Amino acid sequence: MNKRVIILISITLFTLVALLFTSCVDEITFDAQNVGRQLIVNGEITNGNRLHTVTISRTSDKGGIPIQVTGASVWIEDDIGNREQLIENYIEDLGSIFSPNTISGYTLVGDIVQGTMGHSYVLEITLEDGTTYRSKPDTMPTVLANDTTHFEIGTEQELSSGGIIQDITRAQVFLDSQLPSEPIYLKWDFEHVFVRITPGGLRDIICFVSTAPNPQGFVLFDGSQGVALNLENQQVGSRKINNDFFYISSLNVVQSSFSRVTFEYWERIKQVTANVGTIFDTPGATPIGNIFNVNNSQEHVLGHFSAVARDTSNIIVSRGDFPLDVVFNPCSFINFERNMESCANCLSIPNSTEKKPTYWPN
Amino acid sequence: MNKIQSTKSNLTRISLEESKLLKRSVLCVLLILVFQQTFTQNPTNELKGTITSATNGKPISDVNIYTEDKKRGTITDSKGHFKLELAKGIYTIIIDFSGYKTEKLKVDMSQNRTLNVSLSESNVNLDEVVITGESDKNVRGLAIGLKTIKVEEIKTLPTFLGQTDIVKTLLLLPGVSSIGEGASGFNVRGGKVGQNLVLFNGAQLFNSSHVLGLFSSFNADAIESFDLYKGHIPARFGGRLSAVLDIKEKEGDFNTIKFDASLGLLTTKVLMQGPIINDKTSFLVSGRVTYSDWILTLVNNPDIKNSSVAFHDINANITHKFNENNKFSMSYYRSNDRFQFSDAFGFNYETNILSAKWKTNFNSKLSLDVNGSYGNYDATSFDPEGFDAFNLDTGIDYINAKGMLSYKYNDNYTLRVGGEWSDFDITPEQFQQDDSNGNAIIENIDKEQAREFSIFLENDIQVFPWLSFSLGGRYTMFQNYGPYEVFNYQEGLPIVEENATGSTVFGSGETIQEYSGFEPRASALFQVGKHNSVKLSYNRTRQYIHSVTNSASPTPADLWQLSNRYFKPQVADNYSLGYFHNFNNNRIEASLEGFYKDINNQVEYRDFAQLFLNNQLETELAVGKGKAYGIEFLLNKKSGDWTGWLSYAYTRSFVTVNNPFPEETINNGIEFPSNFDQPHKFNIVIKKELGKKSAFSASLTYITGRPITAIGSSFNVGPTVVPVFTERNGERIPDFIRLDASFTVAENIFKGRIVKKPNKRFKDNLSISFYNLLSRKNAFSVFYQRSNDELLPVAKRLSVIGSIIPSLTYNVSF
Repeated sequence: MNKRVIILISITLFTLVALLFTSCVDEITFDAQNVGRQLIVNGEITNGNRLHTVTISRTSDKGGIPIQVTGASVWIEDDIGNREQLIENYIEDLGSIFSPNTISGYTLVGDIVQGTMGHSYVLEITLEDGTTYRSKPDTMPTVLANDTTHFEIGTEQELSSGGIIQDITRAQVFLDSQLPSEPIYLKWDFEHVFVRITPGGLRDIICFVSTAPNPQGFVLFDGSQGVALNLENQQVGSRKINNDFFYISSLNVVQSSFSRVTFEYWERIKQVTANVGTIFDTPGATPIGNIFNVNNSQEHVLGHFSAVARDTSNIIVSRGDFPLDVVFNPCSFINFERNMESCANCLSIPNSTEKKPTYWPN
Repeated sequence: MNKIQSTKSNLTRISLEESKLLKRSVLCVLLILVFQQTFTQNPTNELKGTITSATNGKPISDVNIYTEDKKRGTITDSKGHFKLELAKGIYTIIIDFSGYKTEKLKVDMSQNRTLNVSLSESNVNLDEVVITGESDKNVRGLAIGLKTIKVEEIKTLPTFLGQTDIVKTLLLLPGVSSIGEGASGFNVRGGKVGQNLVLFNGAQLFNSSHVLGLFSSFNADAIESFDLYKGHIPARFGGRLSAVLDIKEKEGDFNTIKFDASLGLLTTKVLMQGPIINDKTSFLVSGRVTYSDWILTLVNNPDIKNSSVAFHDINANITHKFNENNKFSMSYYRSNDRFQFSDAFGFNYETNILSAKWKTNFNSKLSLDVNGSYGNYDATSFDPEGFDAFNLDTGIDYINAKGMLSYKYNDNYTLRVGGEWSDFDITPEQFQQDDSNGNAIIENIDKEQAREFSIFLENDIQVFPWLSFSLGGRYTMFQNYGPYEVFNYQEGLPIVEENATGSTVFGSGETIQEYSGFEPRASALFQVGKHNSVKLSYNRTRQYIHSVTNSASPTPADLWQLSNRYFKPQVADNYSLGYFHNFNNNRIEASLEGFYKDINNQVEYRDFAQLFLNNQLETELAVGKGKAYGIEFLLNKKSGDWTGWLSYAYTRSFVTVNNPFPEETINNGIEFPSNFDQPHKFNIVIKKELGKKSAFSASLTYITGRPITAIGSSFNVGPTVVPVFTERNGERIPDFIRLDASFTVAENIFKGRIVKKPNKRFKDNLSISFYNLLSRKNAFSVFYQRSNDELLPVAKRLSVIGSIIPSLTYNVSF
């Protein structure tokens, strides 16, 4: 064969092997200009004794953090004729001079409207400009599942910022649930509540910090068939084991029982947030809830107002439950500099409060 | 060797040198003759004959035949016949056609002459036309928006991994695009992929792609030619709205056994053809297979290393000539794919088509064409590994029969009349998954059946030499029939699952729903002088089978939904207008075409639609209106050292789904761009002969990025971050730009070296192609993905071809 042809083939083979299938996935951005100023309303009323809060905001023009809407008149009414106005930026008195707790948004603080299973609730909002919005009635279910939880220590792989796959030790929380023989629509969220202590002169400040380690990883279950099943060993979340486990902490599984409409709303959120990311995914769309403009049905309002029957099961854990070589005092001499702000004042940690959860051991 | 025969004796073959010497004198003679003809009405004589291929003896259509002074000319018809009126005198007649050596013949036209010529193939297929079948058809042909391409003419275009590709060639034409690099199928004038009728030997094809869309599923070696109808669609074609791609398979050689092979690093093709009974019965068998997995294992990316790509296709046909007037052929086509991306997802899909064709010429004016075909398309999407591994089977079976009677009264009037019957059976969806105990869970969703019957009529009429019409129509009747269970919904409420009031069960063969309608098809040609024409057309088309997808990219497992109680047939009104002008004796042609298309009952997916394993698709889909419009410009140089074309198309495509209930409304009822709304498309294709045996070609494509629904903002519900998307298709992915180049470096590389005593037919060459010379990361698709530490998914562009892709292919025939 001609030498030139041989050389040509060799070069081409080499190039081909080097370059072929150099497929790649890279991030791209869109200059989305059509999203902005959409009203967002989120709120719920539950069967518990929590303060029920509604937030009102608008999407920002360039995809930033939503802009809070203030000065609105917000009411909740139930199906037996009770109606109560919510208080904007309510200051919760925890009986401590250190932590007057301001709740942003609009909070139901009175006792005219109570969250009761089996009852329906409607939210009504009138903005400063007079525009009125209402939610379609949402009924709080009468049934809950019976949950028990346990945890295991396991490893999960994570991609580091440097692109290296690492094995991370995590507390994996599992759920066993006994379902009722009635139609039920359920959602489970995992949260970790841990303690951080700031030494004080007169007394230490003890903060209870609530975190949602898997905010997009909630679990949904469609029990519309009304079959009394036992769900077993369903993982609902996991938490990286670190210094947050130094003091006693609680691994909580929060069960929410919804109406079918609310469940479908969450299904849609799941669809757009739990996107596994392949080329064959369904194109996204914004989940639309049950809030509407009374005078303009064409306006799409984001968010949802729901009536939720809620139950929490939890596991109290302490440092001894975990490998000692990964859990240290976060405010020790070695770690203090790194955690200086939160160690100096644990209330500076987001979602921290001095209010002890009801389930916390004495 | 050329075989030149003349029934009269005054033909003399002359060399090119001689022709130059004669040129002036002949021109003078011609000028005198033309003058005489013009002013003295000199009588003319007729030059007629047949042009055939010296390679296989078959007639060649669309061959340019013209006098050297380029004042008189014609082209051959589908049987290779031509007829030319010439005033008395001596002429140098030039016969040229892409891929064949040009012939120059001196003819004394003192009386009527018959000229039969066999053209031999040129060494490299570059010396002539790029797009043929146009010639002066560009100006004189009745059909607006018709492109006829012979495979021989595209073999020197740049290829992807050495594969001459029909669909990739179509994508170089104005008005034809795809939504991404490697995406399945093709979109014509803003229409969906599923709105194109793809016919292979007269049989429908439901997926025309290998490896998702990186290759088309047609082995070019087994294809003779293909026609793309994107404007006027003759009444003999029906069942799709946007376009018809009619692919004609080669017949086997009736005299000689021949082999062709093409060896590439990733694919191999072989073709064998020849006589079973000399001059009576021929066969052709070809196959193509890829063995690309070895190269995936060399790639460092673990996902690609664990991926798998495999496909093959087979073409086989037998043709028997009972006599000069009766020909029967039977063909089988099979295409099979397996594609798996790491342990994430995969597809198996397969097409099988068996078709038969009978052509009878009752006399020189009356002929009958009868086709029959059976085909099926089966696709399996699967998740190969893990606790959620599954298989989901979908598919469609069909039978089709068609007959057409053609009567050519004279050159000015042709009548075609016929009927077509099809039966579609969507195969049940079957889902298989193992439960935690390893027991198989199988779920079946029944699908529908339907039959479609059509009658059609075409009249091609030349009223005056400058005015022609094609007037016709098609009347279709459609019946959706049982067994099937149809859900009923409360009247006055939106069609959603909660409003179902029960169902009606229809027995086997029982009519569920019927539709019928007339489809007028008309076009007109106004010829202005010899080199200009204006054409216009109006077509109504109906489509009873809807392609349904809700993924960002078409998938091999996309569903087909028959028209039923809830989905009326899609109906399109297509309007086209074009101006056509040829220069330099039809060697350069130009066209400017505009179109407008209105579509009713177009099916779109609702937000969050769940299409698979759903026996109530009417609750997931919504019916709306579509429209598309645009202009297309083409300048095509068909011969000379440099050939090629330049084209630009401006195409818009929109959808509106505005129904009384918000649940059945999309995008708030506001018009939105369709997935195929890609306004600007620009192409340049050039081909250059380098000496006698080598060639260079290059192509450049620019297309506006397709629309996509993007995340524009977000909000929180508790700790959960919820994305806010733009209005449907409110953003666009980056524009598509690709430059390719190809070299045919030599011929007869091994002849006389490795093959010491090759036979006379032995020919080989080496082709080197560079695909994506700009190394641009053109998107296959864009999708959203959320990594572990991100709350909001981010847009990711997948470029399946992220760099230059060179390829080396050795072709041999003997």
